[in-house]
Amino acid sequence: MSDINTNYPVMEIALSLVSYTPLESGHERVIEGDIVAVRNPGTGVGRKEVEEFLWLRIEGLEDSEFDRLTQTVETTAGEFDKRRFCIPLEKLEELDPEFDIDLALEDDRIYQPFLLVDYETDYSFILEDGHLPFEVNGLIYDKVTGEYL
Amino acid sequence: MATTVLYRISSGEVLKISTRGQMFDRINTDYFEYLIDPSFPDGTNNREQFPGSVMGPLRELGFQKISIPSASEVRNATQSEIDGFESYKIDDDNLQDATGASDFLEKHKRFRKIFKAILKLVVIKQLLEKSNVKQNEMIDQWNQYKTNVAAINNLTEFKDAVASLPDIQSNLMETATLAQIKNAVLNEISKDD
Repeated sequence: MSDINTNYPVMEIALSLVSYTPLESGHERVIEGDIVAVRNPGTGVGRKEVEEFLWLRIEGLEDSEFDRLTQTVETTAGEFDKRRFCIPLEKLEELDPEFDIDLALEDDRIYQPFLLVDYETDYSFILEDGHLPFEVNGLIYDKVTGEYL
Repeated sequence: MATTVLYRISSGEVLKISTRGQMFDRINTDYFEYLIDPSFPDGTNNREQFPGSVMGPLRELGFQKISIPSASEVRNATQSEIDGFESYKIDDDNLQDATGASDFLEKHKRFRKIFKAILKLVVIKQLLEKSNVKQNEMIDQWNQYKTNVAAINNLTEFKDAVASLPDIQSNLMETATLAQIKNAVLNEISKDD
């Protein structure tokens, strides 16, 4: 649970919009909703990144805690899920009924409803005033425990 | 290597089939359970596999599995079973949110202060209501006293008139304590709200 005595940073995260089958070696790959990347806001992104991932901003974790959002599920028996933490797209729809899952999953469509993306320059920039950051509590799902943060 | 199956207890919806023997030791067993080496009459694919290593959607008829723990079996779910999965999931999520909300009220360093402040106001409001009732009772008795005194002719009648007035009760009603109100609010937190 986040502590609002702390001044939490806002971070940008990228969610996978595609589920991939495991590799022949058995190693699993990202599936839909997995948190693929976490980064500081305000960095330019390539066109492919904007097309392939759903970007949103979150807050409610300390700097050091953001790193674990891209952890794998690893046990002594090996690595399993490629990502331990995810945000089910249905959960986003629940929090923002205007979010359209079908549009998000449509191929070759740039759909970034939680951010304003500036396409005018050579690089795309995600503008901060697109959407208020989401609070992590009750949003991010931990596959290991089966619970939301 | 064992094949393990993670499923939702309430609906039997299979969430993951691991042919590499993944153990789900830390899963919340209030909502989830897993089977080890059940029978798979319809295979172990829980999702369709498309070219390009892309997996199909969840809950697709012909792929989505349902767990039958009593028979240690995992089979294809029927369409009506698949249609029912979502409401069980929403129910489980809401239960988790309700549990989380209780923690929020009791443990969040700042929010609990707001919560406690509101409860204190409830207690104060109760005391005010109690005080108003008491005040009205005393006004009524004073008015009755004046009426009685106006009608008396001697000291004996005066004594009788005063004696006939009802006693003033020290406590007119029970006032709930802060802890009682807090627990009442926590008990009111519902997954259905």
